[in-house]
Amino acid sequence: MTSTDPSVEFALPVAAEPADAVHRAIAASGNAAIAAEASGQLLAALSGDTDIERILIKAAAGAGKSYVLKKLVEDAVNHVDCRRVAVVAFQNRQLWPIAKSLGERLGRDAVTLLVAKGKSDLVPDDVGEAATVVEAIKTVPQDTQVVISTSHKMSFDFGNTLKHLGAGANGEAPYDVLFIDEAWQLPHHLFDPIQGKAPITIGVGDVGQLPPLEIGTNPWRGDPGFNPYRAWPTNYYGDPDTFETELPAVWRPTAEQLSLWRAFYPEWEALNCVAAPGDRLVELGELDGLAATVWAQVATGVPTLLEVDGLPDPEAADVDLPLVEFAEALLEDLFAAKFALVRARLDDTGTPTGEWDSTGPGDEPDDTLVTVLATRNQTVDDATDAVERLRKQFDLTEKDLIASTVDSWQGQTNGITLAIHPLTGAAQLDEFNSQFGRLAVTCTRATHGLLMLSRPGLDQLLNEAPARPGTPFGEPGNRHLPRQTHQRILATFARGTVNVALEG
Amino acid sequence: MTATAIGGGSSAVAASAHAACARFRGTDPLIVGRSRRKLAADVGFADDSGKIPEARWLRAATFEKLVRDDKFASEVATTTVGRLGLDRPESVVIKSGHNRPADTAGVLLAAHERAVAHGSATMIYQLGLPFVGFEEDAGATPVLPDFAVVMRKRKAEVDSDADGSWLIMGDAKDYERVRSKIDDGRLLKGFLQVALGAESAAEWSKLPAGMDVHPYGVLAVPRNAFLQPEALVEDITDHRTEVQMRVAERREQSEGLSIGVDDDIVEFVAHLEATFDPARCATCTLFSYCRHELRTSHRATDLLIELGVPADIRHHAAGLVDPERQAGPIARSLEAMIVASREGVAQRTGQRRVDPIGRPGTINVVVAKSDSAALGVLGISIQRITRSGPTEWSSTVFNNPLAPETRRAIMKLLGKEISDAIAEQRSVDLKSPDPVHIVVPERATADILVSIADNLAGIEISRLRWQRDKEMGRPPLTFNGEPAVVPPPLRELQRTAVSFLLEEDRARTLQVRSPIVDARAALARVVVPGGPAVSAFRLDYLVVWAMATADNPLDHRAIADEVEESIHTPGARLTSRRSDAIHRAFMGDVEGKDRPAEPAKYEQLILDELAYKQEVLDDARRVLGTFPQSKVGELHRRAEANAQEVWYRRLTFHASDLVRFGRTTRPWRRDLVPVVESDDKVAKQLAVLASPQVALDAAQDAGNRTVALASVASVDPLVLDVHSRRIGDESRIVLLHVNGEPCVEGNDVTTDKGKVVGLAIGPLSSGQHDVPRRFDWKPARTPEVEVGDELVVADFGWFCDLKRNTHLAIDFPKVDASRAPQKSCELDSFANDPSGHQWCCRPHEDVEAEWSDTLAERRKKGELNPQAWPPIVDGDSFEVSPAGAEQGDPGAGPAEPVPEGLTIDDID
Repeated sequence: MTSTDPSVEFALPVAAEPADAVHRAIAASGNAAIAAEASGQLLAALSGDTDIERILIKAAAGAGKSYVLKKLVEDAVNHVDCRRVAVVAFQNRQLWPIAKSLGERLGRDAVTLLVAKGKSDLVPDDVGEAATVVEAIKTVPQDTQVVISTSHKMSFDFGNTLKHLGAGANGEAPYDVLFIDEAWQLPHHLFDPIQGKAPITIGVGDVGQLPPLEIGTNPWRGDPGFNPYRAWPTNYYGDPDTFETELPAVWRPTAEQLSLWRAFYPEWEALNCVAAPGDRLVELGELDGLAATVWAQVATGVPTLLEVDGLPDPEAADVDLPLVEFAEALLEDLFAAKFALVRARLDDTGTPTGEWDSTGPGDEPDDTLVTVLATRNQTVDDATDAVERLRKQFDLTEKDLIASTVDSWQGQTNGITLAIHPLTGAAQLDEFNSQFGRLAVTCTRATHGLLMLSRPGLDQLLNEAPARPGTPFGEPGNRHLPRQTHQRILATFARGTVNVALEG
Repeated sequence: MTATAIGGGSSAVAASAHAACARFRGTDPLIVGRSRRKLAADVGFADDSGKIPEARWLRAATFEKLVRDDKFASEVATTTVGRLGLDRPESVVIKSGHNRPADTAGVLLAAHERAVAHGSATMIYQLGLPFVGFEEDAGATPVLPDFAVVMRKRKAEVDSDADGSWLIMGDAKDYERVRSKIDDGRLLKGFLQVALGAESAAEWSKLPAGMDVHPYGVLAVPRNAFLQPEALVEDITDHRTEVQMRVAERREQSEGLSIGVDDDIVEFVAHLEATFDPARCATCTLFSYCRHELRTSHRATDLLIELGVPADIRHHAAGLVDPERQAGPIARSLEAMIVASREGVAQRTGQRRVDPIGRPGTINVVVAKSDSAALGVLGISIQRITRSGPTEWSSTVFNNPLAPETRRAIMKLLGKEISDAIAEQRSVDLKSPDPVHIVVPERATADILVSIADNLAGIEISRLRWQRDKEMGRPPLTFNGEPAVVPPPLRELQRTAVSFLLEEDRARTLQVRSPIVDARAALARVVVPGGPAVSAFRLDYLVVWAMATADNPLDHRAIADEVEESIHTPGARLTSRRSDAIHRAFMGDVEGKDRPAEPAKYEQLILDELAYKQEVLDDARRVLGTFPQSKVGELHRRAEANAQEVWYRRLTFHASDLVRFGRTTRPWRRDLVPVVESDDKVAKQLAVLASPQVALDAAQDAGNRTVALASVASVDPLVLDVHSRRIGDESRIVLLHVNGEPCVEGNDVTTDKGKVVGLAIGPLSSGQHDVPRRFDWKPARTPEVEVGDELVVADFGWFCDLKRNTHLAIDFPKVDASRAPQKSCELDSFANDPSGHQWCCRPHEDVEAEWSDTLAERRKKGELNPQAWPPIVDGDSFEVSPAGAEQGDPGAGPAEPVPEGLTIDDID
């Protein structure tokens, strides 16, 4: 893109900036207090001092819940009335970092990762070095303190754990505590077979993101009774033997993204952001034209939506190759000019240490620098093609630039997110473009900048589309309508429109 | 002063539904100074499409009255207050606002004081509130919410020391439950109307100080098939924003635009551009006007608008109606509809028949439903297809459409036919009998039959519990603790029908199952008619198209008009005219107890209506007979037979055969998850395999990566151009269709037990080609194709994981065998070994006796209604009423005219 590019002006978000926001140590202390309270509840339950059977810790995206989970596992195994705990998640991939980090803290012998038959080769080396990896319950070391496995693997246990390892300190069930990561992603029908494995269950997860997978049309949607596809923790809301709490701070976003985060968790009592204004910066190289304006806007940290007019017609509203190619051009300029993501280093309490970190292409950072996210598989394929071209052109790795479906990027963090807005080109509001869990995942990955692209006409669509029902009556969850939810979210974006037909 | 007609609650719904239409917005009563109905008449297209049948109106009016019946009003008020977590009211007072703001203000003030001082809840009905934003306009028509509840706030909800009260806005809607569920779209409409009331109340200057409008609203809806209300509460914050947005929009429009006295209304309307959609616009009074405008338009592409082709696809479709334009990518089903409309000849989907219609073991059923009750049936006709051909249709007219005896009689008639059909199928092959099916003209007929079965099953289960109560010396009580009337037991034939229909209900999401077969859907699988897709939802319309031949093309507009003007319908619901005529023959002109008042006329009208429905279903059967049978049909039949084998054991053992879908237990639902998932997969595979149209639609869906279009570039060696960004080098593909002909129907293809032998399967490879997406293909079996042939291919791995390229395997869907007797169970198995057989053949009689004891125990401890607070929701929601309860009989009073100005939109 060059200086003859069409120009764009960005309007600031319509939504007011949160006046009550707190940052850094004050914000972080909120999470620490909740974690301490949950730990107190857990230890009391282990000692038999309370009747609490379940602890549900709700977290917003990027709240540092894995940290809390690992701390609770440590607290549990150090308790005198706890012999063994299990940590379960829906997907294998989610378990690896947990196994690694717990193994490093508790020792390799204390932590066993139980994987499916023939799958131990897939486990990354650093995980295998930190934790014991086995394929059958019969080979789990007798004195292991933590068994980590998928919900699926654990549900096909048929009493073997009890036979092989014996009961936990509770005397009946094989484990004393069952930890479930990403608990709100695990449906009832997968939870029921494992819930008897321990007398105490702890669920940690993000309530506002992707619900459990449903195949075909779920016939129980809106059923006042048991819906096997519903996230299992919802069954225990308001239950007297369940302790529910919310982590009130998020570590991931820039301060400028807080309004967007709050739009996804509207019913939370408090939600703050640890990073303060100025704690994150994007240093851009020499850019000019449209790309300069757009990336400068993204670098402010404020979520940005660019509506692109004048492109050739797409194949379908949500499979839009010209829009993906437009995104590719923006990325090409970004990588050609070089950039760096800079952040103030904060300690565990959220206090700045005075040091700064800076990462750019080629630095192999922990979190990917730029991720392109899309919902439809075909669009992701198109984006992957674009990403591969750019990688070749600039000699980039997966840590520099990647394309992914939203669903498989759940739980991941990256520096800058470039995504296609689900309402782009849509003729009406429908079930697919109003799945806010998926939109939440898209919007809440970035530590430095979020850029969403769309064809023009979002406002018109949102004004004119016939109203449609939100969460089905009878289902748990917030009772908002899709139009108003979309509007609340869009209000937190800085917005601009560009007409590329004028180009050249 | 002339009144400013703003419209009632339904105007808020309409404003939201038609917001995209400039003509709708520009013809707001605020602008044109007359009601929408009057406007339609003034522009020459008087609208009576939304006319409410008298019986339906009576039902709505009866329901609204019931909501303020002492017993229900206090129940609705108490449950509302309970659901919102407020304190239990000391007492419930019922007052009327007389539809007048002045009276409503007084009643609200008194209610507020009562709430604050005594903790009493007040149920106010017939409120009158100034329309939000029009309080100053003395001539503006008020909003008339059906009811509202006033109750004291909890201590935690008040900011200051002074007590406050909540005003919880409500509305009564006799929304029909379809298979015990009210559709979410309906509830949305209802709550939008509540939101208009809430907004109007919140902005009203006369709202008492200290009273606030609660963020939740309440809808009183029938709790079951009868008109007994229950309260549904919902957060209406967003609904209120929606209403605000529309009201502001209307004001803004009306300020910028108004019609002068001299302006010609016809011209005024013509200048506003409509956004037409045949499916959505039918509820607008200008529907006929706009449709006429499109029908007489000279612009070729207006046909696409008339047909309801979505706006974002029209530019691709323009080439199909305008020779000067290019056709772009468009779904095959949509293309077929446009071509059929243009040519006047129905298009074939290319799929062969997989339905069992016309085969021995099918029972054809048509029903005429009464508009005055959800489960009311005026008459039924039944015909069975035996091995020696169809029996004569046998019709029964019911003189008391709403009575329980009518429902029992229907089940007895059906049960007899089902039993005979089963006996005949078993006489042919005892080990592996073919399935039996009920064939209906459309879904609504199936829904009413299943709902009746559900009603009787609930009554029978309650009876079994009360039977136990009697044996144990306990008084039989309803869930809410009121004395119950113990009904007579369900007889064996009735049970056969009830049980079969509940099997259908549990199979409702299983697409491969077919206890009830919808003839309309079966016909729609093989032909695509012309005209808007929404018209094809009538079987008679579809049959006319299916029977027409190319040498005598049809005019889709004429057919649509004919069907619209017909006094008959093919389905359970009647036209307003026929419904009114029957209703009048039933009620008579004078008050009296004898119903039907004119028995001969009543009977004749119903028989005449049934005769039409029989004729349409006969025609459908005949026209389907002209289509060839698919090889895949046998797989469908085997899948159904496998499932019915389990059902038959349930029936024989009385084991979990009276359980509707919504009452399946938690472990049962968990067991159903893999069943639902396997069914979904098999259904998709069978459809793609057998239907060229489904396969083409899938291939053209840019988001689908498993099915793709291809064309033959060379035959020897075989080279394909594959139009997919996903299927390519090293993909293993199977050839499904060649030029719209399904390969699975080929002469040398066999499908025995799901093993499909004879298809071309093999890997693609890049080869040496300059053309992008061109591949060598080496299938194990060479297909007969020529250069240029259009193919649909699919990723073989999506079907199965077989290693060889010789055949493809389709699994039979898993069967729902949860809580069902095993093959090895004997009739005395449970009695001899209760613990060993508690999850398979345990009969209802035993289960319900135990539950009856549990309920009695809980009642003793005060854990049930009416002692429990907040009130407990009855999960079973069986349709049993306490002795002497008002059920709301719309036939009790004399016929009432439907108020002018109301449309079906106002009550539905």
